[in-house]
Amino acid sequence: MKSLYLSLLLLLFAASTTLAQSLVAGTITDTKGESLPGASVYLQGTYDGASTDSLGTFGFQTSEEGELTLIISSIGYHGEGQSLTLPGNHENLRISLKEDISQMEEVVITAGAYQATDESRAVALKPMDIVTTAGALGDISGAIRKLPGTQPAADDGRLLVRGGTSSESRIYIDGMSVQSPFATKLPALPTRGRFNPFLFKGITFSSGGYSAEYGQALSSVLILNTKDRRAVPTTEISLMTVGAGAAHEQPWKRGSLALRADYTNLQPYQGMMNSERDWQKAPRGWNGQLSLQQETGAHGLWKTFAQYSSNKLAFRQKEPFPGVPDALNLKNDYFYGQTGWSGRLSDTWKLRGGVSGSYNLDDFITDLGNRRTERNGLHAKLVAEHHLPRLSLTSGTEWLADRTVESLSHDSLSTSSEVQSHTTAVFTEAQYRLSGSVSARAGLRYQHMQPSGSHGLSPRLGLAWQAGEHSQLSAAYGTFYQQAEAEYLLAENSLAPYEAAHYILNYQWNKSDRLLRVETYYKSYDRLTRTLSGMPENTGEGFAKGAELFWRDRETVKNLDYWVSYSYTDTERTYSNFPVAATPTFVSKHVVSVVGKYFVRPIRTQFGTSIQYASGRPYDNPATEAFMDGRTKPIFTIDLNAAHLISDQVVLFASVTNLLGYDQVFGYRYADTPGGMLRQAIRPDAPRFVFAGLFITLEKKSTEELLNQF
Amino acid sequence: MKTILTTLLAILITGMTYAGNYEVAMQKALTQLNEADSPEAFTSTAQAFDRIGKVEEGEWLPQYYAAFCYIRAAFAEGDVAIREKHLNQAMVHVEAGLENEDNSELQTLLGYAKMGQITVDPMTRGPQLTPEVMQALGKAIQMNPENPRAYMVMGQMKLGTARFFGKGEEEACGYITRALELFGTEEVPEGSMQPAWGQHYTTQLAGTCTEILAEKGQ
Repeated sequence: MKSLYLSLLLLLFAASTTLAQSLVAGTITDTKGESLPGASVYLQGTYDGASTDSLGTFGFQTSEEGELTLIISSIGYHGEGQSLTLPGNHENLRISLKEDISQMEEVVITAGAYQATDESRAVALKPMDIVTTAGALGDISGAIRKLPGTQPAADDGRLLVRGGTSSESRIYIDGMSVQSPFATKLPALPTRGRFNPFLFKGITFSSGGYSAEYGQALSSVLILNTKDRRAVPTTEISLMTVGAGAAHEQPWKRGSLALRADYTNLQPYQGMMNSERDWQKAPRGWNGQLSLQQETGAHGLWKTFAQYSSNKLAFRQKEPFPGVPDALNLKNDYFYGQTGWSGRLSDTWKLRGGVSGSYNLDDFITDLGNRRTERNGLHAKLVAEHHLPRLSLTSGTEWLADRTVESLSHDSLSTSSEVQSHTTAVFTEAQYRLSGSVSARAGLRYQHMQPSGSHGLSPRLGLAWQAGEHSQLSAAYGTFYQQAEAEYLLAENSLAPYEAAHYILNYQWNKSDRLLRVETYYKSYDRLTRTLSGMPENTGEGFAKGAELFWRDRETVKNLDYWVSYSYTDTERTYSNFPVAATPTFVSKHVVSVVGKYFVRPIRTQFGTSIQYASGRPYDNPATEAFMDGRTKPIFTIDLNAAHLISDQVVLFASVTNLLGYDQVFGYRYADTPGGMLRQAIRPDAPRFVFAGLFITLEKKSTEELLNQF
Repeated sequence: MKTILTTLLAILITGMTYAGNYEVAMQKALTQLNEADSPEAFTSTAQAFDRIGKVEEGEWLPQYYAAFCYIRAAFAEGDVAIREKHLNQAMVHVEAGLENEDNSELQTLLGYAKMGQITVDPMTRGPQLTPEVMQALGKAIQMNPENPRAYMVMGQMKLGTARFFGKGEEEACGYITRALELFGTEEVPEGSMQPAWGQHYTTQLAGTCTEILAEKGQ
């Protein structure tokens, strides 16, 4: 027996020492014959293998025997398998790998779109830029207005894109349409966006040619994506010259709840400033906000967001003017809420959907009469996405409803009217990677609109070509429909929707932290509302064409980040009360913006400046024969800001707009009186706005107790 | 009887040689890691661990070392775009390791990899990722209060923040001192595959600490 074990052991020992060692070696290349360094080459199911060197060669010893598969894997290439019989002579293998388009970075269609996200480095903007841009005053659209394609129009505050009016832009939060996203707009006073920029991690601003998923917007869409939940409980406190706020976020294992409350009151500030108006009640209000997130299943996420605000203001004009109320008192209540789910159903299928709703009530009391406008909006949407290696399909359906009730009263007379509009739409879009350097997108959107009962079919196309390592060309085309504004539908509910077509050509050059974009476009408008005859009718039309330039550089000077944007806009339209085609009053033909940020490390302070030049805006002087032939003088502003990091939890922020106090005239109003023609310049309420705030973030230190261990 | 014995023996021996192979392959890759001195060398070592990990699906160590090699490659890399790719690879292996076993060493690497991601774009990623780094490292210390590497990475992270704000160095250096003490008492048996890196770098960090605190004391 003993001898048997011994002989067995001996046999095994002998076998293991005489096991045949084979050498497996060779070269890995791509299909063009270029060597591939850094590829992993190994025998499947074994530890035996090696990585290719800088010349694409590899070699390793193996004692495996039999029929084995040699696997070669390299990021960006199709994994290749080759059968080998071992032991054997495999010392001169030559294997070429095919590029795997699905693993390569996608060629993104950049025509019309500016993206701000933290996820990719090669973007024009970062979400942080929204709050650090001088002159933006923490307002999302304030920062967007420093990008090409937009009008600065400091008397408006909303987005005015490529000759389009403010109603031609639509805002989305996590895919849901937001109705009344701006505070109530008053004549000659700018409004602000209602949403806190810190809510969002990703922002895409598209000035045209956007995807078939977006409708009911003639000129632009602003797509906001809310932040993911934080890892640790966080409390934030802000103390500002115009108010105060507090927020808390409580995360749990797979979800979180965030609450925020803000109070703003400009009374103390207005009291110190000399303004155009006599403020009896400077703008003031409460704002409350709730975000709830919960992961569901393996790959799903529910996000719910709600906001309520209540604002008041009252003023008297210091210099009364005929047709303009001497005294105005406004009360606004606003609620917005949305809830939605998004998630992966399988490796290739994704589903997302949700509902949003809004309620907006404006109560105006003026010496010319009272107006009460109630506006409700609803949006429901469901989208399915199918992602294959080279092809993505997105299809969905949505329903938008809008109800406006307006009550007017003057002395003892009162009238009330109501209008409802609905849009039902279905859309489908395919994005296809033709090759490693070409991507194409084709989409179709069908919509049915009430009360006019009209139908519309909108094709959307996009193409991007990676022309060189750092440069890319892209083009986009699309047609767009939008219902007439509620103010017109109230008077005439059969108004057909507006139509626009965009043609965009874009060149982009991007190398590490430098980005150049050149874009040119043509846009046509049809069926715009005209009010010449007293009743609104769809006989207006127009066009816009222009060229834009954007240059951003974060590299040349250490700690300096700046961008320059230029827009040339040539646009005319017949709409509203325009007797002939003319350029609207909010359009400056030339706009140049320079935004700079410089971080001074030793004092941990970032200084920011924004310099903007806008050529004169059109206005109509009724005394002259020609329509809209007046031009205001150009507007030139310099804004400054500074953010000082007191600690990693406390930031002191200060800013001033229009530092030099440049006299800005946005236009003129005229009135024919028995004493002759009166004229009044429209100016900002105050030449400058000065702001300071202290922002404190308190994070519960999960490691605090651990400190006591030593 | 004979056949049963023979079979048993054969199973035993093949089993032994198989287990031996894992150890041999790991030791070979660990030797390669000790000799690595460039981003390319670190990535090819990462691939060696990845090959072992593909065979030994239940082991956390191959995943751990693959992740560690990618992190080293990332920190040795000057081009931020490539650094980002290495860190993404590191995260894949940390997560694969955590699926096998949730332990202090893997949590340390998770914090380390996220710290690397902050360096790619500190201004925008810092606010979001800093708490996540702290959470992973806090968990690492909690899971094994004797893990010197958890204190080292925590110290390194805190030192970076402290130097930027010009305060809080004492706390950061407390972690580094503690790491150094723990390295002194850490027993690593000859030929062990358990993580044992970090002492050299901690000594360097401790030197920086001595300088900073001396300067502050003046």
